[in-house]
Amino acid sequence: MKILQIVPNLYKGDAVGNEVISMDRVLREAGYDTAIYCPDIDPRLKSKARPFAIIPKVLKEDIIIYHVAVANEALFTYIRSVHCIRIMRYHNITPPEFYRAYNDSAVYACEHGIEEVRAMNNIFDHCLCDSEYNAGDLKSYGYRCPMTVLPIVLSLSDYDKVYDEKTYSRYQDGRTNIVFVGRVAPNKKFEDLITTFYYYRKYWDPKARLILVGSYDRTDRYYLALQDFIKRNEIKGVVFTGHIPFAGILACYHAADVFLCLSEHEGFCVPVVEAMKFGKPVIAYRSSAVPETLGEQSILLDEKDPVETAGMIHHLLTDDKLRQTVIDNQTIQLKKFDQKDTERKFLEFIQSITEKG
Amino acid sequence: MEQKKTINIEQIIEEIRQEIREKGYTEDDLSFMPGLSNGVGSESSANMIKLLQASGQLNWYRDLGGGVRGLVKKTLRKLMLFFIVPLVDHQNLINSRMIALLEDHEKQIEDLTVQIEGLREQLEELQ
Repeated sequence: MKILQIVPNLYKGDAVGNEVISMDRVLREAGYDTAIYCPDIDPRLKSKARPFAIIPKVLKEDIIIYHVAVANEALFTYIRSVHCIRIMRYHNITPPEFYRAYNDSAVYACEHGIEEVRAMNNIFDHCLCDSEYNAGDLKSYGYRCPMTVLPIVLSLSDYDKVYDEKTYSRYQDGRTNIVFVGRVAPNKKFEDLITTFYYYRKYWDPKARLILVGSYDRTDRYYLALQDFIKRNEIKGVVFTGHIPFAGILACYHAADVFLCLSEHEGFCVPVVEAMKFGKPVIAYRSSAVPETLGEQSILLDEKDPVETAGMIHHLLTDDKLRQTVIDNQTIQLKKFDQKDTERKFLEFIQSITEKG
Repeated sequence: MEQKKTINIEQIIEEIRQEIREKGYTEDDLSFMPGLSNGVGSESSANMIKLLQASGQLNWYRDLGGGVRGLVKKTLRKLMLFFIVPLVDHQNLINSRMIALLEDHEKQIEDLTVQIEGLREQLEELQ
């Protein structure tokens, strides 16, 4: 019996890619015959995966774990035709509406991704979802197979690695650092982050800095609209880091005073877990899977009022008792994503499948 | 198991609202414009891009039917797979990048068209 993980793309630093690699390691360590197959492999990860083109013939007792986060017609066709134990690892697909004003290709990809997920509602033996929110999504698409909610398998020990000193010292200049980590994408609502930051600077801390850590395409219309927004309103102190090495990301987390997330669609939201890992207080908008990941008794905002949110940043940074309570609660919440615990649950899940099969 | 401490978020928000009221903090007119030039541009080129999006993804895997004919086709496919699939994947990558590039150019043209219109109006007013 072999376990094959199939993923549409495998990129370094990507949350899904990281999980695929972590799962591969866990399965190998447990003695399973396993491999990753992917049509689009980041050259830096060539040693971790094999081209999908050479996927071997599968037997009835074999297991395929298909990671779904974007559309892929070839994988979609393959997965429907293959006869073995099929498990979908559902990471969610961004609703196309977010991209409507900016990127037709992304709209097309999201629409097709959702169509593919809907069309596969009766072929999987089991679904493994990152969050209850994602499980709810699948149920709404007509999925009736057994579903298990398992948080993303994260290598949290990676965050203990050495951070980039140069980046850290650049941001350790006495100014308040508000940080968000995530690819520049419209569902993450960077315009709301910038607006909130504008009021925080205007009314509470004129020297504050907003560090937006994540890759962007300089010709992307959303990015251009954000730049236009910043320019027209003369908003100072916003830093787009673009794609930076992992050590640089670690440095930004270390330098952060507060982590602000105003995203409106997340299937899990790994950066929130990362911020908790670094002991940074998080302020987040209550949307999609974010409340599940951040947990209750945290700073979750039901409404998006930029001046109030800015006030919340000030409150959190000046009220030591509140900040400590938030961090303590986050530390308790972080235990839900304990690496060993998640890996054990994943293995138990695989064992239950193999026993049934 | 450790218990989380209660955070009364509503009370905190109320305190913040009170502070905002007392200090007279107000919202400015910050207008974020998502689609600076939505709906402008050449309709035919937009349609052409849509057509490309619909047909730009090649698929090496398809149902080859049954019987002897199907078996022969499947055998041939299997023999050629090592050669065809990387080509198809590569071509798909090129197609998607080309489409993205065309879209960007299309959008940039739209933006420039709007800007030119605006400048033309300003010029007319000045004249």
